Amino acid sequence: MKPTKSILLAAFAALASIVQLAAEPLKIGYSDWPGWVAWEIGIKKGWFKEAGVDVEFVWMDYVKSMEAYAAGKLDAVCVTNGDALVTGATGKPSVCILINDFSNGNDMIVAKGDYKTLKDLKGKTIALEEGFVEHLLLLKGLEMNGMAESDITIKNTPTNNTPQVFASGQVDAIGAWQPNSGQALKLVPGSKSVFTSKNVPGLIYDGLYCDRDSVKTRRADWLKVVKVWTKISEYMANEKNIDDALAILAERVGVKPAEYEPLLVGTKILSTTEALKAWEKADGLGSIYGSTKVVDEFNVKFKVYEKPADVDSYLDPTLFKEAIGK
Amino acid sequence: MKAQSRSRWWVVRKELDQSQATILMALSFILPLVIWSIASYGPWWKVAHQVSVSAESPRLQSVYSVGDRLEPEVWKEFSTSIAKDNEEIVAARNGGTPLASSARQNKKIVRQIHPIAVVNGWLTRGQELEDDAIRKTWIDLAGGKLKATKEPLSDGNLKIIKTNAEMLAKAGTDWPTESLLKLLPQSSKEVSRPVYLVPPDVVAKSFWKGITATSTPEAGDAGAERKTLLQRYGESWRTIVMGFLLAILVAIPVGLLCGTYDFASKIAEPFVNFFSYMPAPAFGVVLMAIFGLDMGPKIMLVFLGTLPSAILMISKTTRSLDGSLLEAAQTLGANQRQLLTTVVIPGILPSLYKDLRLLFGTAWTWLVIAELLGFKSGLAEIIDTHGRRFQFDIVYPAILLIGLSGFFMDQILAYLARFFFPWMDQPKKGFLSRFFSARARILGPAKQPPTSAPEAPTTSPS
Repeated sequence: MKPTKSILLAAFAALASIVQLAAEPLKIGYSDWPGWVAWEIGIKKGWFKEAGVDVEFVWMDYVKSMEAYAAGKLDAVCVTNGDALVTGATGKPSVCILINDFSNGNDMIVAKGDYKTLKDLKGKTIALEEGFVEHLLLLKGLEMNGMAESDITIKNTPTNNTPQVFASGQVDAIGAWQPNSGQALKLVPGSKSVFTSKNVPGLIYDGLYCDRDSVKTRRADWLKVVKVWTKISEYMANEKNIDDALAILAERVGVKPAEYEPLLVGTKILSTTEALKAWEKADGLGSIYGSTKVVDEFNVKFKVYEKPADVDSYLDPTLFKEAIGK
Repeated sequence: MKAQSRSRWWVVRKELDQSQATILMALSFILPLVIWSIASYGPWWKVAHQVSVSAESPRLQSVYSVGDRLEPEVWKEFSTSIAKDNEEIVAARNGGTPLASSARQNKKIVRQIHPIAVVNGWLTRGQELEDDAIRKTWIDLAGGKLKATKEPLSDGNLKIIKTNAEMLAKAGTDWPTESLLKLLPQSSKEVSRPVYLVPPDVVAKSFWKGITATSTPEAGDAGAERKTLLQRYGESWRTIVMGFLLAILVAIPVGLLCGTYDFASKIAEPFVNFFSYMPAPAFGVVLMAIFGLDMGPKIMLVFLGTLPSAILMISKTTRSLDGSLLEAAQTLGANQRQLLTTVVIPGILPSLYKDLRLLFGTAWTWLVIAELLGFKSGLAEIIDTHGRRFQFDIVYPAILLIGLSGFFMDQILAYLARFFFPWMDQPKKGFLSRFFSARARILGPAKQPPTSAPEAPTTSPS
């Protein structure tokens, strides 16, 4: 009798320790892109606690958050589909469990007033973060305008420093996302965006990319996180909530709510139906599969990394579908 | 006569008298202030438009808020864009197909009046989003019940207010479904200085606003974090004091030993001396890796920055103790331990106090770099985040606060010394002139007996 009891006890203790391990908060890195700042609504309103999932959102600079993810300090990171591939090829692979939005104009190449189009930038200097999303946008823009990468000079600059670099007048253009691009436009009178993600909608999807093991071992927790996101996107879709949402978002990045409102147009936050459509396997930029494939080919062509990625392994719609009951 | 008064001001190595000293003391602060004022208020800056009524337009790529300063060309583009929007609305309305508009778009137009309403005292700042209250203001303005006196509305805008108020009245309690007219942008002419040149009055106001702010500042005032300036100031003090205390806790015993025993000196000082050449901020990343992202690395950076110089300074002070005191004690039969505890330590206390005072001043210089490690905190966060956004009117008060703290802390500690060490020769003049005489003594002849080494100039941390 007694030995069984002690075995039971030991088993219980072991189980308890596993439970305790699992109770570590999920660490998610997020940065100043509007689609990710939207998480702030769930954080501020206590929706994660309500859903019964312990998460810790860590506010970071974008590239730093990818570095922290690659170093294993985060369980998930908010990145674009393209940058997830770059991080995967050079650091640590991940898997996308939810799509926040696609960029609909908020990623921009902003140029001084003397340059009206991307073509005018031939032979000029552009400050942007090399190897990441704005670089991709620029290369795509150059390709669409029949130009080559060698036509311009790139100055590697962290995205949140681009407004200051642009204002200093030392470069002719910058590549940045909002709110940085908007700040740059405001700081330099007469400057214009010469190419934006609106010219290539669907090239840049923004999502939550998680550690692959963590998704397997803590699926129930991640499911809750996805559910909170659907709640956030529904909340933001209602016009009545916009003032409240803007106040939360604008405060996080330190701009005025009125200044933040236009950013919601340039970031197309997907409703559940729209997201479901984006999750369908298809070619072309309307699907995250197609988009990621395009980006992958692009990255290989421009030698951002050497070998093509296994695109399907980066995408897992099952959690999202389960969360919305499909 | 003239030559004589002149010679009284400029005499080789001669101390000035009390009143002269006081005048120069005051001037040393007034002159920089005057230079700053001349630079800011001088007639050489262009005039720009400071927005007082703003509007939004899809034609524009930026949203301009009240208080923004726009250069003339930008202002022109801004106001013509809004005028064009209104022309379109009117044309569509006259053509019988008025432009449809969501309630929200119209609410945003109605909110344009809010800043004017605040200035004129009709609404409070917090009512920014109370559309019904703001709406009432429009109707009252159109009906002549309210009159904008403090910040007048242009005739064009008064007309727009009347037209819109009719539509608002027609819609009853609902919001009109056709587009309201936008208020035309208004501005006051303001001097357009470079962003980094903030005039003294603005800095003073911002400073006052910062230190009087309660824990919930008005919306939009704070950046990402809603801590008041004073709370941040508290954080900075905590970092400095903890780092400094930790450093002197180690430095005092080590320094005493090095100054007393040649053994300790020879084994410790060469390395400490070497270490002091390695800039503490270079260890920032290492400190983060060891101590995490919170207070740890910040305190440790102040610690590392202060420690080597503290050890070297204290050991030097200990060594400079008058040797005859030790000889006398030995003659009287003091043993090794007694020499240390009853002669060396009491003997160097006043100089040690002065060392610590100076070291505390230098500790402030590490503050800004320290607070940017890991999670940004304290005054440095203001300096960093608002500096990135070029909001120097918020940055300067934070810098000023650091300067003032270092300066006054030093003054107060120097003043307290006379109560701690009444046997030392202390300057007997007033607070400010004493500060001066400290300076003067370096330039002038040392009148003090050798035990009270000339005071070093007040360190002014940047």
